[in-house]
Amino acid sequence: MPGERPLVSREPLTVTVAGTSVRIPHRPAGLWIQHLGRLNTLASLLADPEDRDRLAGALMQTPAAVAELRAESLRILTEATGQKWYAAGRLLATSIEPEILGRLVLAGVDPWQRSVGEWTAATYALLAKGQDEKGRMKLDFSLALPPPGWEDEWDDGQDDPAAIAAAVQTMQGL
Amino acid sequence: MDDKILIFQVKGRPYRSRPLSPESLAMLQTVQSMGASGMQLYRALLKTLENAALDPAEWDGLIQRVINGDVDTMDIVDLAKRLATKTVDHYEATAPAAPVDAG
Repeated sequence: MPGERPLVSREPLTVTVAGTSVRIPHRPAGLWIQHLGRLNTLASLLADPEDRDRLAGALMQTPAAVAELRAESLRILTEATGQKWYAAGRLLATSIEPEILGRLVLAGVDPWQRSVGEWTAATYALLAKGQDEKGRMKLDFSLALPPPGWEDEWDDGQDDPAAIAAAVQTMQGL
Repeated sequence: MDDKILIFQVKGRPYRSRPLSPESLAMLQTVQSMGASGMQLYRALLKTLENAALDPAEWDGLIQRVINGDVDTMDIVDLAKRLATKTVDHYEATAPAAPVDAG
């Protein structure tokens, strides 16, 4: 599950839209959760106010770069959590369901103190806790399923066909 | 290019515009939702209106009215909102009908 960036990292992230680069400082998981409903502009919402204006200026000069802002927003969510953006989004959305949030808070995990990588890892750990192999596979599958329109993400060219066939057989038995 | 002409009243005078391009509409919606400052959003509105203006002289006249104080910031914001709404209505009205599923 971990990617190249450590989940505990507090280092800034850099995004580039229409040739304009801005550094996004470390933001606690709570802020990422607050902006979950606006994933297409997440990078801007997490940036400092003056950098938001710089990004807006870049879009005014190059309206087609709206797609770049969206792509960069999804990229940093993937980079910061070590998960595909949609898996991270699902974990973040699940983490604020009252029962899950309550358990996380009771366990001492504060979304305003933790990085988004730590928060999604804690959420995953809570959901996977007590699951047998099939239950865990079902959880992983539900997180990894690309949303409509993103089916191409399913094939990252790194899957082992034999492992997929085995996984499908196991899933059929669930 | 879309030859539709949209006509608005701005403080008692007509103002003509083309519909916004899909690209401009997407840019405007994005700038609105990216947490930019009010000033930057206003610049985006002006840029969008200027790009869609039917007649540069008419656009210049509108800006002159802003400078003169006859038209204020909120009138421009309102014009941009009405233009965005009419643009969406126009695209919906001219969109090809969805194929009927015979199955």
